[in-house]
Amino acid sequence: MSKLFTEISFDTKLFSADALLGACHKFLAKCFVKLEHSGDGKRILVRLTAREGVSVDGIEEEFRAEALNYAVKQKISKGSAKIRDQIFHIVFNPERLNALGGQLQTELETKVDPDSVKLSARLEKLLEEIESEESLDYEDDPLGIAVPWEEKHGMPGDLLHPVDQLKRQAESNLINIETVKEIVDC
Amino acid sequence: MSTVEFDKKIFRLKAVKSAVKDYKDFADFDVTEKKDRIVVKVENVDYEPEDVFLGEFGNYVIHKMSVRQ
Repeated sequence: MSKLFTEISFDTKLFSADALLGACHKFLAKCFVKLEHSGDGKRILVRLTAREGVSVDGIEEEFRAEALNYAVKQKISKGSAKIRDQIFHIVFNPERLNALGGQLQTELETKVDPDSVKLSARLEKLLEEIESEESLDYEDDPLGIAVPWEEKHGMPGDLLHPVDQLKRQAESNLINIETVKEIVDC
Repeated sequence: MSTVEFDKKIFRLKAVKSAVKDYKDFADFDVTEKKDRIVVKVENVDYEPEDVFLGEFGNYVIHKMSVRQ
């Protein structure tokens, strides 16, 4: 017969209550969860009671793995909190962002790093291209996409006969004249 | 009458009260604070079996705490 509940204890020095709450949240669909400190306050006890039709066999290992996952995630999150805050502060503060952009530009110009200058010039060119494209009217057709095929290449009747085309290409030394003769004779 | 207790070092009173607010249609709740515990007295539970109801309520408080994070 499978067990109905299991109790797992965690050292508070290694696992915070928040990390364990996060892990508990994953198990709410499988178990009824109870969370409390031990009498001496050095450990947190997690009691998982299986819901009807659910077994708690193997759930302890699963819970420990999840708790570890949350504890590590929390540690990383705490470690990078300062950097994250700074990034958000810059991103959501346009003045600071512009100042930083200007500073980077100055640094690029003063250091005269050839690659950076090239990249900067290329970016400016691309921006100009995009801006010029944006200034086009919707009816403008710089690539001639809307021009009918006949206007571009002439009517089918105006096209040269394939033999004449070959002769013209031979005259322009694009293909061997002997090859043309052989084809024409055939 | 049944009692559900929450460790004050882990659970916030606000989360417990929020859960009580959402569950108030199913039972009568009375929330009090003791030294290191939040004690919720539950009466007139309109759900069977009652222990499942109490378990669901405890889980809902955990959910409220996790959402806060």
